[in-house]
Amino acid sequence: MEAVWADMALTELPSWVSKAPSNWGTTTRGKLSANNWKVICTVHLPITLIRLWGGDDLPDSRKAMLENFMDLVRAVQVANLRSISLKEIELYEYHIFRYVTSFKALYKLAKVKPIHHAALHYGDILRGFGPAHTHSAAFYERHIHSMQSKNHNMKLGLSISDLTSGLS
Amino acid sequence: MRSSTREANLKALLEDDSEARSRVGDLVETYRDILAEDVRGTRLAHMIDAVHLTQQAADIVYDRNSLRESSLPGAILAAFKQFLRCKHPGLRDEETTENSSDIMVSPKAKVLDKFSLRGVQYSTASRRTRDSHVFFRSAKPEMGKAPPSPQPGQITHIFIHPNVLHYPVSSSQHNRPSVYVCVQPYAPLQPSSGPKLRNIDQMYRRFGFAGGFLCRNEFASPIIIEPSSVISHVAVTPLKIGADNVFHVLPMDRVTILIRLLELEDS
Repeated sequence: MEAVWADMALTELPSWVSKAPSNWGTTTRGKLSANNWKVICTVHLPITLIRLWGGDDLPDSRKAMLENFMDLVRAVQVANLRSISLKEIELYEYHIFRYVTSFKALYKLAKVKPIHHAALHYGDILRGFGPAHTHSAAFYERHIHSMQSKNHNMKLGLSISDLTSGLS
Repeated sequence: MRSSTREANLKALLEDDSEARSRVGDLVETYRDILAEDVRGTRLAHMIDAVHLTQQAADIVYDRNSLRESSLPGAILAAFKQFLRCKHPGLRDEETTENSSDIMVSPKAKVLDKFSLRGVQYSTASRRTRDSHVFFRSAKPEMGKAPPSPQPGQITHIFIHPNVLHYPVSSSQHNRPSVYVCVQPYAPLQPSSGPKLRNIDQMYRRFGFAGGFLCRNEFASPIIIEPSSVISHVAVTPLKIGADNVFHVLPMDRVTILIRLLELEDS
């Protein structure tokens, strides 16, 4: 963790990427948001872990753990692309399948959770509905906010023709 | 919910009451800009506000009011001449002296600190370092040839040269002055770099778009590119590996282009 925190302090991220808390992983900081985890896992951890765990002189188990983690990183990166093709969906499925399979082999005591199962089916969702940002919760919340800011005179759900027929 | 209702009422008031609208004057324009930030880019926004359907958004956006006159340093002017020679091999007339192939370009230019390309903001290193690290292509791909490899660098200057070139944006818009970006590329690792450094670089490169790569902690000569050559931002981390100071560069492209590019290079 010391090495990760040290690298994090030096990393310059574009302004559109929210910074993760510098003391993440401590009891003082507590829980992190989903976006914090995404930045930590896709940016900060690869920078440090590949350097520390990727060497030829390290035990195979450590390298297998790195490989397993990087499969997850690549799957998350592909799943969050702003535009997506069938080839990229196949790339997602390849990495997420490898991640879940090696996760079971590497961490015998860890339980396979529903989120792992759901992640295996996410390729079908990408195939059916397109990139993640077009059907994520944030997408719909943004539209709800947009609709709420329209003035409807407390007649929500009525069309103009309904209103005018009531007048005649 | 309460603030949304107030917002809805205010919008209706501004639309329907011309007297109220005239009293608040310039505030209306700013208020509309702020509202547009909330919904920009959504299909629903286009459906609700039909005015967006008739507006064509430009790829490059910058604040014309922030343009200021400046003299380009010698190194950048030389790079700019080189850029013009490559882009317009037959450049003549007032830009070229009669008996020389050297292009005469005035050092006077209008400089900018930042611009927005397809909704992403890029800045010069002096303005906002975080937004100045980019991944870019130094030249456009030629027909039938493999595209040149993208490389990382830092934006040092953004400028408009008023006397050189203008390009048509579209038939419906007036010609706009071209924006030029001066980038200092990060120097790649040399073949003579130590085996430890090369091993670690290979370890990063093995993971492709998710792992990034290493560069030397120094800059190559500045080059000029067009904004459309910028691919994405990069995250830069200075690292000390053994006795070597290097930069780790992680491309931050989230629009697939980079993954396709890296695949092309691997194949």
